[in-house]
Amino acid sequence: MRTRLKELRARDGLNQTELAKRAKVSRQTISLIEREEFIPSLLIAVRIAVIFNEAIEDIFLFDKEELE
Amino acid sequence: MRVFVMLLLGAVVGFFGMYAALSFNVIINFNSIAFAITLTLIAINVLLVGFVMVSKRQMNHMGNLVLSGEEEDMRDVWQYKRYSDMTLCSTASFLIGIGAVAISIITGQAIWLTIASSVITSIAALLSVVVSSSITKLYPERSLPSVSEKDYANKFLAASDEGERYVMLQGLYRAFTTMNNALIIALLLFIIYSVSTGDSQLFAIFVIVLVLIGANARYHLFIRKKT
Repeated sequence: MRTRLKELRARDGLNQTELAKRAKVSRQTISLIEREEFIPSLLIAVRIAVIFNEAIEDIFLFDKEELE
Repeated sequence: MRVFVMLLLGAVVGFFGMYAALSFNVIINFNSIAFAITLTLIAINVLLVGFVMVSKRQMNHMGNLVLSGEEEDMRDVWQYKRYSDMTLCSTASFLIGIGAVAISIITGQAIWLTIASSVITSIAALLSVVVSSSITKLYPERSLPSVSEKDYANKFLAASDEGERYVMLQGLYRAFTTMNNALIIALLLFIIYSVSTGDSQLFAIFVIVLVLIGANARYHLFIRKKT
């Protein structure tokens, strides 16, 4: 899974700490997702999507092989 | 085939290891070096305790700074790493302290050495509690349990989010497998030591076997229950 989290944070001028507070998770979790070391649960993915006003599939990008 | 070769290799190494241990008849007189070892352990402990105390002051100072943007993130990364270092050092200090007290008492060292090692061990134990409780100051907005609360470890796990739990799981699983292997190696060392010196370590061997069985049973029974 790839993610556009860093790009979207830069777009909205949010640091990891602020995004973490809004998504009600720790900064460590945001950092893990950004480094693509951890796939978040649906709940956190939805929260992040709402914060950036984007669709989940436009933030978390999966390869075709991963979805098959 | 590979497993067979590994088993054969293990058997050959084990045979010659035991043969060598039986032939050399090693004599280790701990009493002659106990004073130096205890003193060294106390010195290491003083350094570790000093590091934890200085780090605690630095953490407090960093926590009071008003930062934003990347700097705020960098501060959190620094604090998180320093908190982990402090936890490791205070735990290591406590364990080394127990070792120092044990050596001092068992080998009948001077009373001042036993008192010194006991005092530094008590300070290390106190620091462990202080360090653990400092996480609530690090993240005041989170409802993390207090160290004095009953069932602290389970409550702390429950208060952690999914990313933190993922990291903890990886760390704990690695620690569990490392501990298993390390205790088996310790068993072998105790056996070799007992055979070569004639100084029976059967009690320690028995305790390690019980600890290994207990820890593995707890893990595997937990996994089994969750099917």
